[in-house]
Amino acid sequence: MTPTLHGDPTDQGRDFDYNRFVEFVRNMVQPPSSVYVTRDDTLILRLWAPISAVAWRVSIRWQGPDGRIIPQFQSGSQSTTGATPAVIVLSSAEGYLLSATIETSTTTVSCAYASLEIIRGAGSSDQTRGHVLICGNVGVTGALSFPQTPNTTPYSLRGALRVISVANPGAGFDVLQIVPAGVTWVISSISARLTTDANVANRNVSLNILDSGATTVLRVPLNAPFTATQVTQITWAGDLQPLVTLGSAASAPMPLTFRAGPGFFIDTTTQNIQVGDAYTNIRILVEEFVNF
Amino acid sequence: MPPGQTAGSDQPVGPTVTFRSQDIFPPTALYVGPGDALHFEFKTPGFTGNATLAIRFLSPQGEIVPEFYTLAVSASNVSNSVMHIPHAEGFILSAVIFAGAQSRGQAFAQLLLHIGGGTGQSVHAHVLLQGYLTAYDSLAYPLSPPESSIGGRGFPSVQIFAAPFPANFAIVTVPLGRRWIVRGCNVRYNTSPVAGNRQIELIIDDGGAGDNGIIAYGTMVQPANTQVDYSWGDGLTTTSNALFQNMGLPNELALLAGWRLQFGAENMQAGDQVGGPKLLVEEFIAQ
Repeated sequence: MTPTLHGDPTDQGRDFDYNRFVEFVRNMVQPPSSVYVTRDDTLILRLWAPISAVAWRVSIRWQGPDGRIIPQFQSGSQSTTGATPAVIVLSSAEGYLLSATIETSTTTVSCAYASLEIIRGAGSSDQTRGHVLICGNVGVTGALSFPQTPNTTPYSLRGALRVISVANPGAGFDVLQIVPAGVTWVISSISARLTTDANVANRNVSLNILDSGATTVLRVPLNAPFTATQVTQITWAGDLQPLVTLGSAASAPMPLTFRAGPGFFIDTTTQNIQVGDAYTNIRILVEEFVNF
Repeated sequence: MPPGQTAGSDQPVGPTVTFRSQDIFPPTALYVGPGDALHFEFKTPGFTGNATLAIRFLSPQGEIVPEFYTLAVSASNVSNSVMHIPHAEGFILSAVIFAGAQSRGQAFAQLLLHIGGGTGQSVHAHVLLQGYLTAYDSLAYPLSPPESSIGGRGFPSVQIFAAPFPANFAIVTVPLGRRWIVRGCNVRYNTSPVAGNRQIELIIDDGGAGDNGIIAYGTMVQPANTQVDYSWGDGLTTTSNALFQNMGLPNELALLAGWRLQFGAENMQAGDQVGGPKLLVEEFIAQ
């Protein structure tokens, strides 16, 4: 016997309904999702992971045309370079996409940015953007999930906290670090140890930040010089006081939440630097954001 | 008469607009299939008590069924409190979760819907709710958007560490599973009778060998046989007298689990003592 909207009259007809005045349909129910996916549609995961490889996991709940709910789970590990994302083509089938969740298991919060889209046709070689289901920063605590999670930009939350270890420049040279492609740094502090040689001279030290075109945008000098045969730990950070201490440490303030984009230069200028003067233990504390 | 509408007598506000009372589609997009289960999970290093999940469920027969679950939550840095609820077929109209945590930032909760599996299943098919709970702030499906564990405000926590730390740096390490934003800190430094000027310092690093992420110094020197209380805070301009000094701290300074704050002094002498540091931090349950 053909089922009615309310059920099969042989065993669960409207006489079994709970309500007196309102009757809900039980058969031929509208699929509970607005996202219909058909053949030639492609699910694309774009992933930006410029810091390190990210172990990603995507889980999807599909409803097939026959009403069955089908779970789909795919995972992998991916790293990227610069501003170019990894484009991962996920399996798909005709039906209704009920939910989709992106998680990571091996990264800290905001180490990667991800988006999940439905596009029509070829997949990774197709530049036409489709239906963006989810986009946002991913991390080990919490998940992004369609349809509940609002879409966000890489800057909508906090970034990834990192201590950048800068390579020693060698005796007689100043510090130099370039912000890598694909990220923006909000600089919390810069710290380095300066060991001066026995040559008599007053070394005046400044921190410089230049944009990607080498235009100086910030210069912060220390307020006292260093003389021969000193070992001094120097720190620039927001809200620090300008200070040269008992001969072994110095500090100076720098702007709060200073943003340095891809290709920015962070360096020092040491007036009267001597051939044996050396910077070591160079650390930059940053909040890093994916930039594209 | 439109399809599905019954006699006009039950539509007294018509006839310009009338509503159907038959062939109604379920008023929600959240269909729960025969093999589906709900997964209720808590991460909370600082709260032990009950968390509650309440659901309005529409059965296929049209009956609205209230459901009520209580989860006993145990404070832990590493283990989550979990409840797995195999569920009947039908439609979830709404869900609300709440807990007795005193402050935002103490308890982070998720409510998930997935097919099959058990408590050990890590596949999160559909995140219905995600965020921080308190006794007054609940999360409610479908209107509460999932939030990140590092979004919004955290838990204002005062951390007091045992004193003294004789002739050594006092070291504080951020606990596992937490993220701190340091809002302020205070430490007492006592110098021994050994002659010499000392200068207090706060070193912050990520715990790696030889790292020196940030070093914040006191601007005054402290002679032998004296006691001075030092405070650091966001935006402070240095002021001091013989007993106290305060200093600035980098704005919104966030630290991950395993990162350290070390309190000590330049020219530290035998017999000097660093008191137990007291920190005000904003704590998040996150990596």
